[in-house]
Amino acid sequence: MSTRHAVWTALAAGHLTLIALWGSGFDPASDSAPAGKLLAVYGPLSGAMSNFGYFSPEVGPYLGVTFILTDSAGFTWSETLAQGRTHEANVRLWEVSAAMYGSEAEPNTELMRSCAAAKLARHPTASRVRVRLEWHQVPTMSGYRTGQRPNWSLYSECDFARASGEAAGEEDEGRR
Amino acid sequence: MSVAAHAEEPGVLLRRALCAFVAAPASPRPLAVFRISLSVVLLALALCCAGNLYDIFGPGGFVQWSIAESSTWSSVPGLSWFTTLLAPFGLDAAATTRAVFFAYILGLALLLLGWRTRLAAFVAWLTQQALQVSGYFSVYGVDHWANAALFYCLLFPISDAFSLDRLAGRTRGGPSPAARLAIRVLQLHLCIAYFCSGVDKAAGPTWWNGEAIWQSLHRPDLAQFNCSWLAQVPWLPMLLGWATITLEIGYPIYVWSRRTRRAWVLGTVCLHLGIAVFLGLWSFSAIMIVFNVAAFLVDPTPAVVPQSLSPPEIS
Repeated sequence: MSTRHAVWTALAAGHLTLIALWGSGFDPASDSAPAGKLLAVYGPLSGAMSNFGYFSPEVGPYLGVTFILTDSAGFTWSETLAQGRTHEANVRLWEVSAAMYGSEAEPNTELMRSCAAAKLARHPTASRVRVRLEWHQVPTMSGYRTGQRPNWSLYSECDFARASGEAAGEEDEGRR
Repeated sequence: MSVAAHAEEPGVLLRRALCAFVAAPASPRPLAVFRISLSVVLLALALCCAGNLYDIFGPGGFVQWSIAESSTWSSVPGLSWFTTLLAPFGLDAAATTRAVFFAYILGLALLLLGWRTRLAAFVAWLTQQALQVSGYFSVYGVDHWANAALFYCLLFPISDAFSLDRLAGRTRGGPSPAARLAIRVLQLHLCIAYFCSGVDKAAGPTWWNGEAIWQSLHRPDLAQFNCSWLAQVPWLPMLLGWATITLEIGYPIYVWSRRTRRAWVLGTVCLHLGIAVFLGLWSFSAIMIVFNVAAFLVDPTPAVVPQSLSPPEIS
């Protein structure tokens, strides 16, 4: 084996070791030492930083988002986030709605405000928007056999109003 | 000690086997298949997102750049950086988004053809990173694998077969130790990923009792068919859960044996086809199938091993 190939092999071994560490939940980039900072740069650039935890250890409930828009005449209509032209675009927009989960107590209001502003920007006649986040609860198989059915339960909702003279929405009221 | 006895020493045998494992010349065909099929999948994925480019990645998208770009770990600049860079040329934020997206498409197209492959891979990798940074909250599994794949395209000898670079004589072509090492990296990356994923699944009860399959088939964002009838046959989702765990945890064991490799990889491909059909995750499934096929199903055995590249000698 040439020296050059041996060096590449060692680098490949290091790269795969990092993949294994990140994949097993150990974060070598959490160290604040220079090596940790270097790995924090290298991980996302190389794609090595992934935990591969797709649908594991369990499949979480779906967090749906609904925008209830109201114009100055009081006319109300609702939209969802996922109104993309393709299924792939909708998959990405669903990821955005999932990210609105902040913690058990609080949603990610910064993200809700951003989406509200985008909806108001797309509907110049709308003066306010309510962003409603709801969990889609699926019963267990045994529960389904006994008559339980999937249902929605409110997680959080916030109202945003168009700031006078501005295009962006501004939080008016928030409640859980 | 005789020469024969010396050759039988376990340490020497192990070292020889390790050298052959990473340096025995391999055909570049698997890497060419990887490059071409990856480009096709990522091009299709990009075109599927083109109609909602601004919603997902743009300056007026659902998530403002300032929020997305401050949330990511990546040190690659996002689209706001490119906007500042291109502002002197009269490009606003929307035009910059279009320009970066076009550069991404162009990079992938050139990668597909294998023309100036290394440069094309760099453009595709850099622009994919920028789009991921600015569209951070819309990123999911397929993007992580695309990121890794494009990073590999920067380094692997992916243009040694079926490429315009090969036709133009810009690459050497033929079997090489570098191709072998690259294929090993792909193979081991998959083994680690499936094993970690399988162990994570096995850690909870829902993959053992079938509830994970049931729940995923009933999520509004994933469900493609009405599968409520599965509640009457709970043994079926339970069996599918067990099969998933077995395939994933067994992957790093059974793909190395010639007798079980093809069956195991085909089983894994079927798993991804199932994810595509029943959960609608077509792009994620496609990129995983690309990795599996290139790493394990395309024969890397060279037709003729050049004398200069015969299996490595060890000292």
